[in-house]
Amino acid sequence: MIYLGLLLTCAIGWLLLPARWECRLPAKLSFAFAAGAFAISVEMFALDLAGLGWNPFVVLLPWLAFAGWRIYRDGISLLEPVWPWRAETPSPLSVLLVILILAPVLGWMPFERLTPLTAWDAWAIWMLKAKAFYLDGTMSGFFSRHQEFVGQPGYPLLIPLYATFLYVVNGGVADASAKILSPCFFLALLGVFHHFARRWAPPIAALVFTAMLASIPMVDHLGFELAGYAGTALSLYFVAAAGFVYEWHREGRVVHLAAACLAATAAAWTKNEGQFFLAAVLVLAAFKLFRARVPALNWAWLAAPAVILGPWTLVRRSHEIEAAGFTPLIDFDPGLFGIALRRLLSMGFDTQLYNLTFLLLVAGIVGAAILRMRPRFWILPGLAAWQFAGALLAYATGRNEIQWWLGTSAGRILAQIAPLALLAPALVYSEWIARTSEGDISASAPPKKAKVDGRARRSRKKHASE
Amino acid sequence: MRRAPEITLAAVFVIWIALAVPVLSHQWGRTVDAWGKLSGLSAEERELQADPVAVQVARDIEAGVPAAGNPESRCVTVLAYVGPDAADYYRGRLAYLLYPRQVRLVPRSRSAARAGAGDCEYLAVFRDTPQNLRSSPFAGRWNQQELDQRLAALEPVHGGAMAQVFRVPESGNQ
Repeated sequence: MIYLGLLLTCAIGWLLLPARWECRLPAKLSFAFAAGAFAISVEMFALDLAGLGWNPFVVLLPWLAFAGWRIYRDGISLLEPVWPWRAETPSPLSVLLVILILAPVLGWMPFERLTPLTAWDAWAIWMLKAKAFYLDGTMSGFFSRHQEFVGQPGYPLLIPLYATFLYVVNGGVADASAKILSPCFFLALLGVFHHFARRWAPPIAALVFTAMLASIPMVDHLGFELAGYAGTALSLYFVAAAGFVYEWHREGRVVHLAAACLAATAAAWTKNEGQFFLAAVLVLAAFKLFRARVPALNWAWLAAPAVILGPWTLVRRSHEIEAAGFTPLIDFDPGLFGIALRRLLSMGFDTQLYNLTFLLLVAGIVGAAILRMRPRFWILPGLAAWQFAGALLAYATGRNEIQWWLGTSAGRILAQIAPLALLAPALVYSEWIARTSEGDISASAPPKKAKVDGRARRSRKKHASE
Repeated sequence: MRRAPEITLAAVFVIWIALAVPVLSHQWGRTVDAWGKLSGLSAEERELQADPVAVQVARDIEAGVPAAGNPESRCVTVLAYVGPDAADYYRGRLAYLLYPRQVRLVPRSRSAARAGAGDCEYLAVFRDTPQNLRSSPFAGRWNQQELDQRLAALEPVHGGAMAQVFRVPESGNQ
């Protein structure tokens, strides 16, 4: 029944996405899972605050009503793009790349399915809350006893409440089954990453970058061996928010602004690091809002996080639970900062852990400088650098013994950032290839400059739309 | 130079795959190994194999301490002959495995007397495996003779493979 919960998650998320949205089936399923898990966790939170409980009918009834309304409004177009006969026949190279993308998943998946829930943070923090919420039938039972437990009761609730939903659908606690949520977030991460790479780069290049992401050892480790942790879900919402905020700056469409704000809110609702990320996304979104000619009502999207994080803060405070975060630059210790910086850099450039991810990020930054890419490009490496800096600032507070802290968390912190870091090289590559195409066209027809520019623009547009 | 981006990406990808293959091969080996060891076992057996001591202790306590009832009647004090590092682990692990029971693990042979309301109704005793004690030696106070005398006065509830569970009368000595 856990699998039924996962299917329901995709179905609920699908209902939340626009019907006529230009994206392919894997991408739409990925966004549907991401949106579904987020929406369900928020619903569970709201139901508990309203005192309605988590009876399966109570949980699913609003979604049934919503499904009815969506079917009435959108009809058959709601199913877009599931029609297989509309899919293009993939090239042999594309098929090979898809196999390469799935190879790590196939290598890890049986391992994850066979092993019980034994990773420390998974049971001590995330799944403990889920088990407690489900068995108590409410959040307050656990929160009123929070001092008994070694886990971090102040951590955000997306994963615990989503796992509680899986238990509600299952009709019992099944932690070894429910930890499949991490591989599902991993697959959704691949789909969302590929969606953005495909918008910017040619199809083969998009698949190549996705295959790279799928085989980053620490990202795989976080998604499968540490199943039950929140890190993979956080990576997914990071990539979604970064991609959408970049699209908001590029195209100025309000749907991208909304998606960026919601994805960043989901990140903040997943882990404390997400709250630091949310601050950056909101600033970037607001910066464009100042310059965009859109109705003032769209500023309301920036308030979306307050709707969820505000009540959560009140719940936390009512039970005297610490946020377990940190205040940047308070208790700052430059010595600890230096230790953390050296350790993170040495780990980040270790090919056994992250392959060439962070090297490609550096190469992408250099390439972007050489290509003199538009200022909006810097959103992507900027967000990766922001998260990196946030981690350093946290380590520099000295809340824990530094070597132990780095040893137990630095690998995962970098794994959370790695997918985000790989977006920038994909974008630089697309720009490089577009410029090369422009150069070819210019070289082949130099006298007709105006017409050449038009073709070049079309060529770039084609790459962007592919 | 027309194909420079594609050639560069292809070269980077080849290097990437070359770096990824050993790591993935290692993972494949682990998966095959796990398949051989775990595929024929039930979920409960896998859990026990992965974490034998904590899971067995939890099952023993589970058999003796009810999950429902008032806070006292689902509360268990665990006198644990374990090392200091292991104590932290078992404290968290048993809290997870035994929720909603309340677990108070103390790494010594004696805890405060049950004076009345608010104290645990159950007492459990367990000793870590010699292998675990070698890596994290016991560092608390443990008087086995005194403990045996006290336990003889309590009502035994469940004698498991790893832990013995007793009911403590009100105002009784733990």
